[in-house]
Amino acid sequence: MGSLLFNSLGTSLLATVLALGLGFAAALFASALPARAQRTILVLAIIAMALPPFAVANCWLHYLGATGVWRHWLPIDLFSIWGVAWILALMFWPITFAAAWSAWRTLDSAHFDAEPALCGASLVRWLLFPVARDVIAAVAVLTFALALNQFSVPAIFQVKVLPVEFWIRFSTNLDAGKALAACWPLILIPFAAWLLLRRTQVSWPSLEGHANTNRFRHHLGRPLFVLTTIISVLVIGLSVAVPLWQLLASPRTWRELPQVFRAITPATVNTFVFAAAAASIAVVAGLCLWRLRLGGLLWILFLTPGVLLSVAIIWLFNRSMLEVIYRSTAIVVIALCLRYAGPVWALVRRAFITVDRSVLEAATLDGLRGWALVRHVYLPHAAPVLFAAWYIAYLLCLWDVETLALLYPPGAETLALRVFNLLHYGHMAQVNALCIILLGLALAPGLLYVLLCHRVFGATPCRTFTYKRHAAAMTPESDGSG
Amino acid sequence: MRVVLRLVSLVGALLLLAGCRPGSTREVVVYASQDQVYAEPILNEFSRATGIKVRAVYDSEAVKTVGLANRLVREASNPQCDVFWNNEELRTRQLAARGILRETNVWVSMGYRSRRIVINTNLIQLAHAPRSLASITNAEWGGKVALAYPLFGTTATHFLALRQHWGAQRWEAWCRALQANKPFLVEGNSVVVNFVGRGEAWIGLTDSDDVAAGLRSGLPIASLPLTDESLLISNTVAIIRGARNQRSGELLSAFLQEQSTMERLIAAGALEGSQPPERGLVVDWSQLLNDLDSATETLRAVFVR
Repeated sequence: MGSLLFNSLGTSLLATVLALGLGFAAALFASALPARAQRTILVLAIIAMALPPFAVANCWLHYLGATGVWRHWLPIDLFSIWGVAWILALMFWPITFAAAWSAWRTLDSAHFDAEPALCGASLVRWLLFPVARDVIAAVAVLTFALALNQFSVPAIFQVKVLPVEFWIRFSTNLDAGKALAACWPLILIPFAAWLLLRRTQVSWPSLEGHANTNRFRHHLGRPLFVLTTIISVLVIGLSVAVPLWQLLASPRTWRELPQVFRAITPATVNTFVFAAAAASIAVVAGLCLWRLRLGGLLWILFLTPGVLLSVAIIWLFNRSMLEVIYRSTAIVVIALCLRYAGPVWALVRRAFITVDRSVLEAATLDGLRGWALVRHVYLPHAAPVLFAAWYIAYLLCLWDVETLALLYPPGAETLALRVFNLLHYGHMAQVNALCIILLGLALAPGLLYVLLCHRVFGATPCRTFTYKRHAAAMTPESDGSG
Repeated sequence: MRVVLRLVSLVGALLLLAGCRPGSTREVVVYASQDQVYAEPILNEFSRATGIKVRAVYDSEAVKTVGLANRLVREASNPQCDVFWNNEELRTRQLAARGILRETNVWVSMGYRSRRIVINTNLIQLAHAPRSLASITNAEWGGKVALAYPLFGTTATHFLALRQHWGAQRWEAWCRALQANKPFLVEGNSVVVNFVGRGEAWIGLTDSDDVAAGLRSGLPIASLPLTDESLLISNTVAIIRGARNQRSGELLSAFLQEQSTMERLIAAGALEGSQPPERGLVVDWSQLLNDLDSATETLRAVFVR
């Protein structure tokens, strides 16, 4: 197990560090752009995350494999830990991007004006990184866990990783207990990482709305802006443009698309409904449980291999009394919700616990309680991170196969399950057509968000600003007592 | 407490909306490890011919095509499936040994496909291709052979059958020589075909239906003829112990064994023939199951660690 564990940890740590760096740089770049350009970057990030791992891996094999078309002038060896880490980073950078970008949307102009000398690297060091630190810690664990559990991409590039031990026991002896015993590092190591990285959240006072992007770019400074531009253009090109070109370039794919769409409509509806419902329930559960520290135990459900989670669900629900649920599509939604509840809880908790305390006090003094408090104080602050949490869970649900393969009842097939079935037969045009449909499903909520963004999230209700100004009036400097 | 009650109510409401539906009176639930592209049209035809609604669940390469076997084991206390249609034999025998299948007329085999050596015809001429599994360990094929991890699926079964055929010592030496020749170990048989078709590898060990799929895609590949070291892989059909729709299951099982069904599978490339030829490994399945753990341990030591 030693060498397998070393390979797994090596690829996962490298992939996490690379993904964090690329995502952070892309978030800096996007935050300094006008709103329309930010939405474009967000769409591209969604595409990067929604591309299937096999499509990304095969794309890079095509270009940089032993017989790759770019191999002559770019002799990079992908068949190594570094190669695998790079491919995984190209898949997972959008997670950090979404987290950091949404965290910085809670900053307002006062944060930048408080210290005019805070520019460039100092701005990142003393303001931007501390604001996003907690949420980045959560997505670092998420990224690390996703990379640690990857088997198909390392297998293609001939890197032997620990998940193979799990699959050996699961497939040879049909023994879930032995399989669980084999994969304990895959659960305990990320969980320990999360316990180490979580910190006391700091609430950031906010009196206006999110900061003007010109001000952000001015404080970021030209050198850092140029550097992040170069990094972002490269990472978007390599993670989106290149694989997407491979997917879309074949005319046969487009000829197959209408027929495939007609044939697969029930699976398309299933996929969207399951993913949206599971993500929504996970966010609602996060909203109900964010105050409970024990909610952190939900991470264990995410870190456990999907097939083992489904074995546990079968044990729980395949009984006479609960059979009506087990035989219905509800079991799929339950499984997906349990699987991704942990990361969603962590992000929701972070969003709520960092609400400006002075605004909360002012609203409470004014008599706001319950839903009114949530609507006028918590939600305007937490909405970007809540949306990021929902979207990350939604995208992960779209491509989930391991959790569903043992559970889905007849008629509840999803697009991802159909893609993996068709991959076997070399029906690449149809597989590509299905991937395009999945990309469309992945983009749909994001496009809806950017269309409604200004109306729902951007224009904060007047009453919230009243509380923000009221809170400002209560600070010692404003009433002359300090 | 209020929070928990609210959460439970909300989840319960959403679950009810998600679609609890009443069962049908004439239906059969089939778990099909046979590939969906081949199985679905046949099951639809059965449904049309008999009026019995077929509710099918298919396996996935994402779970190494043992998802359904594991599912049957987990559901044994309250079976949901009536018929298990498998495209290989080992898992069916494991399930039978565990008492998952019906006590009488436990399972039947139908048709066959085979394990093959596949080559890239742009890189190797047929006349120069390796003719035996022993020769793929030669130095000239170093770094040019692709196979699926020999701990999963039909590749594992083939390796276990070779162990029985050659004897443990000779087999282990061959495995070590193969590993020393630096083969590409990939996730599945279809990936082997893609690797060979792309020229990343020159030779592959895979299943005949995967070769057929690769040929349909226009890959420059060809499979070598059957030898005494080839493994013949039967489809199997079994009724599950405690199945709710026994009669419908028996009708489906009989339909799948009909010659017309076999011919459709052969025409689609899922099977090579209805009756196994004389060539190929002769397997003592009971002994193979007994040796499963020790053989798997050797394979792990050679190919994984």
